[in-house]
Amino acid sequence: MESLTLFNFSGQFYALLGAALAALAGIGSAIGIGIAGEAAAGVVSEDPNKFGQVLVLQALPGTQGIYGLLIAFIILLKVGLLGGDGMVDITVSQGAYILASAAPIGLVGIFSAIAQGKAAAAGIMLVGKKPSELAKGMIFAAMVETYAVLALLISFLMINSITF
Amino acid sequence: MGREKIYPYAVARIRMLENSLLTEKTYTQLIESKSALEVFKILSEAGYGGENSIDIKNYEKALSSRLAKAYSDVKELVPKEHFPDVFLLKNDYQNLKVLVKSDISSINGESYLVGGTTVDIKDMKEAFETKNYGCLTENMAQAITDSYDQYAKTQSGQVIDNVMDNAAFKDMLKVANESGIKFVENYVKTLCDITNLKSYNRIKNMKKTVSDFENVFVHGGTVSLDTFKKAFNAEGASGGFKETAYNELALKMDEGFTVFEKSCDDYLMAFMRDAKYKSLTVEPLLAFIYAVETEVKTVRIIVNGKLNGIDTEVIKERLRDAYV
Repeated sequence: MESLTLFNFSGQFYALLGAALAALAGIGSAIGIGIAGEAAAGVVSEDPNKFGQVLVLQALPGTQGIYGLLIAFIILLKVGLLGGDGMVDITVSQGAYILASAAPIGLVGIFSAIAQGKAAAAGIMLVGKKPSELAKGMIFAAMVETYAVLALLISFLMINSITF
Repeated sequence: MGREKIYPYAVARIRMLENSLLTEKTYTQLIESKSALEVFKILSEAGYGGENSIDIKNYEKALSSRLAKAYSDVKELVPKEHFPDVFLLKNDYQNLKVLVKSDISSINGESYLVGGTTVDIKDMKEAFETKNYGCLTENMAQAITDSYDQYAKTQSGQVIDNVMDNAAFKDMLKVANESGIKFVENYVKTLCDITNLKSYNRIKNMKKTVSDFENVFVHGGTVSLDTFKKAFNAEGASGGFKETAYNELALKMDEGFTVFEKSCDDYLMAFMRDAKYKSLTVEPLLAFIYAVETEVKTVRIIVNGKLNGIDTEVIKERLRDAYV
């Protein structure tokens, strides 16, 4: 078993690295919401009444951060960090499995949230010009969500199938 | 992720400001109105002139303040960027022309000075009077010296225009190159070509010679002086541009002067319209300035037409394509 010792770190370290990687999806959400927020401020500066409408669009890129948080939580539960009984013993390869399963949501989360932020910003400008087209603007931005959800699904399935 | 710089706030604000541009419907109303008075009323309702009502005495002021506001809005949105200067520089050079010419002719040209400049008019006047060109660009200072020299040699006011125009394009190209934004660079080059095409068409129409054209040619575009020279000698006005990007536009030369001048403006507008489909980069900011410039030009055509009792159909022919 001990033949697979990557850089001599313990399995627990890799498991935590996995949780951290999943939580990095928040980077993308922060950038995405930031881009959309700038656009929203631009619209609201000319027409404060549109605040409610643009806020919905601005919030869309936030979901990737939540997905990352979800996977990070599952990992922490799985390794027993949230149970109060201390971390369970896991081998290096088990830790590496967990790290691998966190990769989809961590990476896809970052890039899809940035892309979604741009689409949301464009949707916000669309609302600025044609307030009645809010739903269409939301659909365009929500299309990007698909790929974040797919990555979440894969991360979830991978983690669920790891047994100690 | 693209490497282009993005401006979500600025573009969103511009999109909102675009809502205040006159629409096709308003233009139709303006054209069909019975008198200039009615035109002024519609313009007031559309937001021209702010609180004051517009009349024959102050409509020019309302138009220039509309332009000045567009310039300052965009400048305010991207305070660290210099690319909006490609639009402002022509006004600087217009003022320089006025200053040089009024100095030479001793006629007061105060009323011909325009706003919307990169150098404050007061500073420019002071620099001009004290001959201390610190606040002007190098090209401006050079252009002032050159235009006096050239004028002393030729005694023709036209050389001043040419010296200034060439310097203006030099400065515009410099700003465009420094900005590193392809759209801005292409705009300046296209504008340069269009300026030359317009001069070419005018000079050809006036049956003047190639050397007259050489005197007004501005450098910096994609179509070379050689191409123009060849076109001058070719059959017909439009024949020599088949191998350039302006073949279709050049064909309009055969349809008459007014049609060609309008087509040139429409060509630039078509170039600008690409910006409609950019959501985060700078293009919409530039297009907005161009849209307002065109709007003011169009409104001026309508107002002057109405004031002079020109037929509705004739005014319609001259109307430029709008951005929205």
